[in-house]
Amino acid sequence: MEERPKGHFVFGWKIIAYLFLAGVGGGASSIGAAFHLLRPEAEIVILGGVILGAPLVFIGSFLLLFDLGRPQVAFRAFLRPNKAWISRGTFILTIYIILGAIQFGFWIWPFQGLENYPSLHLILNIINGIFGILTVIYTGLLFDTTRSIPFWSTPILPLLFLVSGISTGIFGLILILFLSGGTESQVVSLLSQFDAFLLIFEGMILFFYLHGMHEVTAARASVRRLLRGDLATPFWVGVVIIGLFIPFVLEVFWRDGTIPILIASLCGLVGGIYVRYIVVSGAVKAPLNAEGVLIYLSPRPE
Amino acid sequence: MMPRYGMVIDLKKCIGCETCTVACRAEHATSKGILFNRVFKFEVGKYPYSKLGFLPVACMHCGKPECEKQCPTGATTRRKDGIVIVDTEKCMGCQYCVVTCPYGTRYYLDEIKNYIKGSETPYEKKGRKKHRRGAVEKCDFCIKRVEKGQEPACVTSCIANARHFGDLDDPHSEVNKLIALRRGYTLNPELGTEPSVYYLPDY
Repeated sequence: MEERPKGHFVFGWKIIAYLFLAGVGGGASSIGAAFHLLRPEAEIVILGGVILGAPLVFIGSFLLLFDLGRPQVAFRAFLRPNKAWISRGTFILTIYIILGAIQFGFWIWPFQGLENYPSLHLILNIINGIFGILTVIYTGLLFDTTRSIPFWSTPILPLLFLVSGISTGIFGLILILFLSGGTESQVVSLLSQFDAFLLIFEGMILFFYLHGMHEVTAARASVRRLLRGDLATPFWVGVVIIGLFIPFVLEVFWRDGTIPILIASLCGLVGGIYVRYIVVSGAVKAPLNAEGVLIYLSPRPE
Repeated sequence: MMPRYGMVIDLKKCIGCETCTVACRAEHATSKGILFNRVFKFEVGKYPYSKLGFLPVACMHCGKPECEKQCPTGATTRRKDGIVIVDTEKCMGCQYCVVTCPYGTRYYLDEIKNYIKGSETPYEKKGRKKHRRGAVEKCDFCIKRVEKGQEPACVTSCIANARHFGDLDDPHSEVNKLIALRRGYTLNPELGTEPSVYYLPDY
């Protein structure tokens, strides 16, 4: 049997991929909804939000479904929204995907007609954007309420997921803009400027998150793993350099070039995966506390 | 009146022999890799002023179970008699309760494994009916034995008589007397889970 270090709990790749896809999808559709409200002339961004949003979250939800031990009773996940964050999340995901599917189906493909009702479309898109944000932060709230894992049990985590989600959503939108060939440089530079600001913000959140967690005795083990332990390479290279530093430098100093912005977007998306990876894999369960004697939970027995 | 079942484990008497672990496996026929009851062994203090400590840990049957709070399907419930159970028929196997349990006493059964590879004993064949692949399982205070008026397997089998089982709501019960006399404590009280399993200090 695979030996795990004491007290570690590791989610599979499906959960990490879901967290990333939900971040990109929810972030992109909330940015799309914001553009719909504030700058409706940039139709391509609104379109991009709809194209990226629900489909990515839909793929992510399928990953969640296949991660279940008994997917045949998955409908039961709807049953306890009064207490469990997973149930609330199931509702959020379902409503979000339905709203996205309505927009996609009646605006892009296979039907059209939603553009004839601009105010209805705007309202639909704004609700969709709100549910996109909820999609991004509910997992953070789920982790926040997990008291057995001190590294997760902080309200900074939903904020980190939100900022990282919107940032990766913008990177996804920029990629969509390039792929569709409609490189309206004004929109791209607006997006990348906003994103550069978000990256600073994300870096600060990460700093305060790790700083705050280092003060909590039980979470210090997680922070040590990130800073100089087994997760040091994913953290310093994946999150800090690829996810934050490179995109920021490219967006600030080479924002007029096509290739630098493209590289910045790809790096930012990879960084988004690594943010989820370090948060999920850095989890260490709090030790058993028998009147001051601390016992770390050992790996599974034979 | 409905009792509220609880357990008291006397760490002064526990010698770390793991009879409870084996008795539990014999009772529930758990798969390889799954032990509802475990005994942690650790060193307290620094040599030469040190000693070996034992801590048997199974489900704490919390008054405010974290697992029940996070369970999206309603498979995990706390009965009126204080026993926290998993209805594997309802469990969808999201495993979040395994993550959220502070005591690490929940197990996800991804496949039913025999203890000796390739050969299934008649006992394992009989016992596997109690388990459901893809669901989460854990200690249930031997609910079938308790309903018959017996004590859980780990309590009956304990060779040092370190485990006691009884009603926490009855002020005259043996468990309550022991908790009061020996200043019984629960694990991780800071989490507010209100466990029904108490430990008596080893001094």
